[in-house]
Amino acid sequence: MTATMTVAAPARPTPSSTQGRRRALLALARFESIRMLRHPLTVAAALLFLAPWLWGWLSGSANRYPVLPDELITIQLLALPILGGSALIVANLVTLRAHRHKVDASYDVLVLPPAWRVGGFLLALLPLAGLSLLLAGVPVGDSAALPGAAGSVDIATLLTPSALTLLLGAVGVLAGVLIRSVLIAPLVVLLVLVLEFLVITPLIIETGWRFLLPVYVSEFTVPVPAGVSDRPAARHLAYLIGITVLLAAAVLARANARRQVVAAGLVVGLILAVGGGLTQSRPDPGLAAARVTVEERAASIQSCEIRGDVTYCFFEGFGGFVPGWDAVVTSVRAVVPASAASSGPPLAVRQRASLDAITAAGWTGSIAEDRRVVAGWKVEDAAAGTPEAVRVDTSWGDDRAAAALAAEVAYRLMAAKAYDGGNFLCGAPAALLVWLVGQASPTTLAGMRSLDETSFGALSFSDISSRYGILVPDRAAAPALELLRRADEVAPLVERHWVELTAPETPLERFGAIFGVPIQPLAPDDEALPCVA
Amino acid sequence: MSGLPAVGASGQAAGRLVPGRGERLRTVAALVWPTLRATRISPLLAAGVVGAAIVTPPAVTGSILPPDEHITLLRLVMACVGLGVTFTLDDPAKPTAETLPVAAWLGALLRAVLAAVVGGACWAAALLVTRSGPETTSLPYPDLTREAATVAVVAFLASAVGWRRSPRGIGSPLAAPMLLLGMAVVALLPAPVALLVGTGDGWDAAHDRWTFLLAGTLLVTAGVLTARR
Repeated sequence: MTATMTVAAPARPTPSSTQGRRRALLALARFESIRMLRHPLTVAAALLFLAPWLWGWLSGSANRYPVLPDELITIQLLALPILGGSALIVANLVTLRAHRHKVDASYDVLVLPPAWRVGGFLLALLPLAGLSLLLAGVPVGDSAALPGAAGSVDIATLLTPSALTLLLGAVGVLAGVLIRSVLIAPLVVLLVLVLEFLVITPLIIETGWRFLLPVYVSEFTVPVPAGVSDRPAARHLAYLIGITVLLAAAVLARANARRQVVAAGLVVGLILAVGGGLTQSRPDPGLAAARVTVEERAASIQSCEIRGDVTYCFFEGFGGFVPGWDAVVTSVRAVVPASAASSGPPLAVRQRASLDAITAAGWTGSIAEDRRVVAGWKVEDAAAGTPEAVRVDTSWGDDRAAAALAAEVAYRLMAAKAYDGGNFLCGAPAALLVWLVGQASPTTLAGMRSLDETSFGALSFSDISSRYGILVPDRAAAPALELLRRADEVAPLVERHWVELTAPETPLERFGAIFGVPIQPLAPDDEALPCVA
Repeated sequence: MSGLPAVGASGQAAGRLVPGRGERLRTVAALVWPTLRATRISPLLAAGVVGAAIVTPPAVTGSILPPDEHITLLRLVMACVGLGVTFTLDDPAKPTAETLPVAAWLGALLRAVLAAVVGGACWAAALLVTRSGPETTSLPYPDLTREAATVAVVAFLASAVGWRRSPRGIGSPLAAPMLLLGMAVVALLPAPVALLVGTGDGWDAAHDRWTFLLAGTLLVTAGVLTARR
C-alpha cells in the first residue's frame, strides 16, 4: 500500500523583529554593494572613465591650463554614459539575478520580504556613487592642483556624477522589477546616449529645457568668468536627487512596500524634483548685468600683474594663465628688431570674453559689429591706463591659442597699435606677421600650422570663438610659410627692411622681392577682400 | 575483442558510425526549422524598433541636422541592433543538446543567418526613415552599413563567447555589456586610430580600419565557434 502525504506550502517565516529585518537589509546591501563594486563591468567602466585623463598625461597632450568649471562639465558628460550606464546594467543584473537563475520561488523562504530586498539593492548603490565621486575627484583634483588652472571647483557640480550614478542605478533596479529581461538595461543605456546627444544640441542649449536633462553644458562657445554662465549646479543636483527618490519610491511601491514609506518617498522626491526643476530654469537676477560688465567693462573687474615692462590683466581666477601668456609675448618680442620690441604705448595684454551664446541659428553678427565692439574695448583700455592692449581669449593651453596670441602681439609690435578686428590683414605686413608667429617658438609654429589646416582661403588666427582674430589671406601666408625653412638668412633681412615691411601700403610683391620667394598672382577674389587700412 | 566497429582508412566506419555526406545534409536540413524556432528573435526586433525610433523624430519633424548628427543617430541604431544580436545564441536547451549529430557551429551559423536577415531589415528600416528626412540623400550610407555590419559581427562574437562560457547557454547577460563596453572603448579612441569619425579628412582612413576590424572579427568568431571545448 502506498501512502500519500500532503505537504502544506510553507508559510513565509516571520522575522523576529523590525530590528532583525533591518540588520538583514544592511547585510544584503553590504553584500550586494561589494558584488557591484567588484563586477567586471564596474571595473572596466572605472578604467574607461579614467582612460582619457591617463592618456592625456601619458601622451603629454593634457591641458596644463584647464578651466575647472568646463572640466567638470566634460567629466559629467563622460560619467553619464560610462559610470551611470555601468551602474544601470549592474544594478539591473543584480535585481534580475534570482530570475535569471530561476530561484525566485526559493526567495519566498527568506526572512526579507520583497520590498526590503529591493530596498537592499537600492542601498547597495550608495558605494557605487561613492566610487563615482572618487573617480571624478581624481582628474578634477589633478587639474585643480595645476598652477595654470582657472576658476574653482563647485562642490555641487563635483557631486553630480555620483548623483547620476545613483539615478541610473535606480533606473536599473526599477527596470529589473518591472520587466524581467536583461535586454532592457543596455537599451536604456543607449537611450541615455540619445539624451546626451540632445544635451549638446544647440536647439536644446538655447532653451531652459536643457536643465531638465541629466547633464547640461555651457551656453557659451568659450570658457567664461564666474558668475556669467547660467549654471544652477546645486538646484540641478537637488532635481537629480529628487528624481532618484521618486524612482526608489516606484521600486518600493512595485515591491508592495508599506504605503507610508512609499508616500514619504513620493513627497520628498516631488519636493526636490519639482522644486529643483522649476527653480533651476529661472536665471539669476544679476546675470544680465554681470554679462554686460564682462563684455563691455572688463577692466572694472579685472586684476593686473606686471611682468617686466608688460602688464597682464585677467578675470578673477584666470591669473594662472599669465606665465603662459608671458612666454609667448617674450618669444615674439625676441624675433622683432630691438627698436620694435617697445614700439607704441607700454605693452599690455588684456583678457576679453566674447559671450557668443550657442544658438541653432549660429553666428548672426557682422564684421562692422565686431569692429564696433573692438573699438569700444579700445576706448575702455585707454581709460584703464592700458591703451592699445593686446587681446587674449579665456581659453589657454593649446598651440592654437598660443599662435593666436602671438599674432596679436606681432601685429601690436608691427603697427604700434592693437588689431581693430574684422578685416583681413593684407600686403607685406600680413606675410611678415605669419613669419614672426612661425619663428617665435615651436609652440606658436605648431599652433599656426594647426590653424592653417583648418582654415580655408585665409589663415585665421583665432581660437574657439573665431571672432576678432587676425585673418591673413592664403596668398600672403604661403610665401611666409615657405620662408620659415630658411630662418638664418631671413632674420637679418627682416631687421634691415622692418620699416618698409610693416608699412600697410607695402605690397606683397615687395615682400617676395626682398626675400626671393615667388608670390602667386592676384586672383579676382583676392581683389575684393576688405583689408585693414 | 571490444566489439566496437572497425574504422577504415577513409574514415568511413564499417558499421556506419560516421554519417555520410548525404545523411549529414539531411540532418542539417532537419535542424533548420527547430533552430530557427528556438532562436530568440524578439530582443532583436525590440532593439530594432527602439533603433528606428531614435532616427524617427528628425524625419517626422523635418528638422535639418548636420550630416555628423545624422551619423551619430545611425550609430546609436547600430548599437541597438548589435544589442539585439547578442541574444541570438541564447539557448537554454544547451545542457540537453550537447550531443547532437552535427557540429555546434552549424547551429550557430543558422542562427547567424536569421539574425542577419532580421538585423538587416531593422537597419534598412532605419536607413529608409533617415533618408525620408530633409537633406539626407548625401549621407555615406554604404560606409555606415559597413560599420553596422562590423558592430553586428562583434555583437555575434560577444554572443558566441557568452554562449560558450555559460553552462546554461545564456550568454546575453555577458555579451550585451561586453558590446556596450567595446563601443565605449571605440568612442574614446584617440585620433590616429579613431573609428567613430565625422565626415571629413579622416573618413576614408577610418573606414579602412572598419574593414580590417570586420575581417578580423569574422575570423575570430569562426575560431570561437569551431574551437573544441
